[in-house]
Amino acid sequence: MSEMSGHTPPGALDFIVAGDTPTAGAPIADLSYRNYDGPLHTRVARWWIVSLASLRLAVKKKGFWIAAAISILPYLIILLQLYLQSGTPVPAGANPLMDLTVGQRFASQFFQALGFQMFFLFIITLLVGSGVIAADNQSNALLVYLSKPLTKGDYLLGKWMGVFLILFGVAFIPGTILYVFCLLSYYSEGFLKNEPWLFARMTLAAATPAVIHASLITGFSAWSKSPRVAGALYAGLYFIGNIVVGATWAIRHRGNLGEGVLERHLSVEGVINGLAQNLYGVVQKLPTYNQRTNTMERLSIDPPSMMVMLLMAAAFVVVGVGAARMRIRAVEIVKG
Amino acid sequence: MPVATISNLTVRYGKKTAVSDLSVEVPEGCIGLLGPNGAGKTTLIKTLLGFVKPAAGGGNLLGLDVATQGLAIRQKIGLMPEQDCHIPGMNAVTFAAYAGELAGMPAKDAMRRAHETLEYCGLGEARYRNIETYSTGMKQRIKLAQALIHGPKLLFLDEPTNGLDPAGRDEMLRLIRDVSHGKGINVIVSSHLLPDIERTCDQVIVMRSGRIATQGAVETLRQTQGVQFEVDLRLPSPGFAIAVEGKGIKVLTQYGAKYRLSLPDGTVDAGRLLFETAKESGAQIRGFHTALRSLEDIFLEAVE
Amino acid sequence: MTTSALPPVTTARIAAQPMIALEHTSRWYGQVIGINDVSCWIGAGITALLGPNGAGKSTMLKLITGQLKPTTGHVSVLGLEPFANTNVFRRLGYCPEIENSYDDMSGRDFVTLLGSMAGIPANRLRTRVSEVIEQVGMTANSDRKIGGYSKGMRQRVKVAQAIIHDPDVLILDEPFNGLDPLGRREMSAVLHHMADLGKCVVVSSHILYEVEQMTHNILLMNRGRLLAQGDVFHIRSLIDQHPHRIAITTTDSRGLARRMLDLPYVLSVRFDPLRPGTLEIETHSPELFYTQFPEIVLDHGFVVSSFESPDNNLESVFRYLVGAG
Repeated sequence: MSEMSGHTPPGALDFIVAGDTPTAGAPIADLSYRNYDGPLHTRVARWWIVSLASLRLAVKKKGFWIAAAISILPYLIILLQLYLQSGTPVPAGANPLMDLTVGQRFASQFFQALGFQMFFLFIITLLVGSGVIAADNQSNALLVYLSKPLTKGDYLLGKWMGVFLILFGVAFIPGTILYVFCLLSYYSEGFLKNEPWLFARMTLAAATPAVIHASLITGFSAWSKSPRVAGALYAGLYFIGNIVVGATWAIRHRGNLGEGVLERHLSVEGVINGLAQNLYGVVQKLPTYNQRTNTMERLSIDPPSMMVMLLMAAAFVVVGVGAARMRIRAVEIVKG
Repeated sequence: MPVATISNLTVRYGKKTAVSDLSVEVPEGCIGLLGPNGAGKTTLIKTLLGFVKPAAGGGNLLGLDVATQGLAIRQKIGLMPEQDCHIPGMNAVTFAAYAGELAGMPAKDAMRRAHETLEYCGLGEARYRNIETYSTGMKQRIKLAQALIHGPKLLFLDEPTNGLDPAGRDEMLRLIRDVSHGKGINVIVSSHLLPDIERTCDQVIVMRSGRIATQGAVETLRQTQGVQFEVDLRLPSPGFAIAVEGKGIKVLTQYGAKYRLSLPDGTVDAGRLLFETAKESGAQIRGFHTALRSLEDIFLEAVE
Repeated sequence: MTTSALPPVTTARIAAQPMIALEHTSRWYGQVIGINDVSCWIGAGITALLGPNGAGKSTMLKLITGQLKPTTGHVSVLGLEPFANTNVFRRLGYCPEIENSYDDMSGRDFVTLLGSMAGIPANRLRTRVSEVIEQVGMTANSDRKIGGYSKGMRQRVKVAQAIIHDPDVLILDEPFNGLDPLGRREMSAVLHHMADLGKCVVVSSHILYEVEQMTHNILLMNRGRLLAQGDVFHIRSLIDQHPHRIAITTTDSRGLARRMLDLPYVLSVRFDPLRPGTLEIETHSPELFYTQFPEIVLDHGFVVSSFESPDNNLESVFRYLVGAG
């Protein structure tokens, strides 16, 4: 071999011919079907796989990132406001947006930030959630899911979590960042001492729209074969709900903000808002014009009844998830 | 060892009884499941997959109880449903890997297997394309791939050649034959297309009105009573028919120029006999072969 | 001796005036070609329209049923242009492949509705609906909602609405979809019955073995062009690139092979290692072979247990003309 000129490096063929290489016995690989004998029990929960797929699909959407980015702006603005406010002293009562009440100073800011985010959270719900089950209905995906070791409950939980985690993340992450900033900057001003439960409140308040939107949109999505229709229907419910509740309140209370607080909060958006108010313990102080005494007054508006808000929220969750569950249960894998 | 055993199964949907006191042993290998619409095939498959709570009786599949261990069963089997189905928004690789993960495979194994399985099913070229752009043939193949990905011990194929053109059907049947022979996978094929079953399956189970009408190896079932031949003549020839009858051969059926004959037992050289008779009667034979009962005849006899 | 119960396979009988005629017909959608310069006549009897997916079959059917106008060329059905032509629609029945969503109607109501739309007078409608439902074997289930029907039942109802007005031309797209073998037999009998009455029945199908049993008259398309039309065996004999193959099983295959090689019209002799007793010859002159073969067998005492032409069938013609893959 080594006497041959040029091309074959000396000893290369010896190596192969010697017969101790992986391909010695079968130079032509057998590429036909091989059996799989590897592990078949993952350490993660089954529903998490479904959620992960949903999340991956959601983050691919440009619209999601745009809406999320815009929805973070209020946090940046609040950050700026707090920074400016702590630098220059402001006379009490001058700025209606600044509530300096001890125990409410920061909570009210977080509440306002969440308030600004509401619309975008709704948009994200539509973007990410309207197709969550509707797209599957369109393509009969449930036939694939249910032929695997996955229960209908796993499927539903996975889908719900997919929407929930996105919405929760969009509210929770900037909230946490803001919290940490406040903690570092205003610790000396009694940040932790005056509002000890703020982080917990923020977490629960971030979860509130997520839970309600996820439940409702999942319900709508499950009953539709078209993501657009599901989204349109939910948007309809949301907006019309707001309009009807708002109009009813305006008629009954003639625009007097101090009255009919509960009635104002009976739509989906209202319930989310109301719950957030309760969680943050925010008492709104609005300047109004008192016609009798001819002066500007500060009106204290308590949050709407926690019981009612909770009940309504629970109703939304039960109806949304229940509807989805009903629809999914009806799917037959093998049709005659 | 049978792959599945069903004993005295009774299934009711509301007031309707779909199957009543059904018992069947599903053997290993490639089995064809046949039966008219409404015979209970669907119910049987649903039961074997663990989706049905029996009103009475029960059974097991791969050693797992069909009434209580549905999830474990679905981990060991692959289903290729009849309808078009896929997960939206994914390409073939992602879809196949996802199917594997849903079956319990770790993500890395699932991805590796996805590529392998897609290649095996002939989707190597198109694996990075969105499934929504696939043709019918490709959609059928991806359905097969997602059923195979986790290495199931039993495959259920429901009308696997649905919507495929002749070339596509040919390839799908070849795949089914390949995967069901020598790879350690049992396959149950449910189809109305009997030539498809003939080509791929070694055994058949024929159902009728919620019961088993007949069951057995295709080769055995196809054996005729006595020696039978199918003879193609160039033109129909009454002279030929008369001549063969004179030699103790019975004409069973005639369809144009095709004759089905029953030869006397112990005929050693059928060719000589036929050629001589044709020569005598002035007919021209264009082909003859041993006649087997067609699967269609077996089916029709079992269900009528 | 029993004669088979099935009616004999219908052969094409082109009337002086063909029932469907295409003349240099082309249809394209933007850049995509549907059918390309197709000319053919279709007469009474059953004609099978075949071709791979994307061959242009559905375009062809849409042109014939008057849903589309040809981009160039002419289409005529019963002597008239079918596009949006109620005179043609009244004499044409169409059973499409797609599922119509009339899930909330009962089968009977659906057929009644379409029957009245086809112009059947009200006094005859009920009897006609019952007749046609009986013909397709749906009498037992006709009052249930279509939403609860199986695939096969939907198929039968679709055929019922296509034949209710006793059309002269019947177009069916995948008519046996979802039918079990029994159902297929029944449906086939219905179609044969119509063909025997002199109607023109065009069946588009992918399932070659079903087509084979129904008719020998085919229209084969691929990529928008007409590849072949006529009797399938006649077409087979014209395919020169693929000489006729004949497989012979005998105890002395090598001996017989030697004899075969002596025949000048035998082009090749092949053995298959997986089937040791069988040899396969190729020839352009099957007629000569069939005449001489029995002599050779009888003179030399070969024991032949079978011989047949494995590629003298529809599937082979399809494969040869359409090309592999």
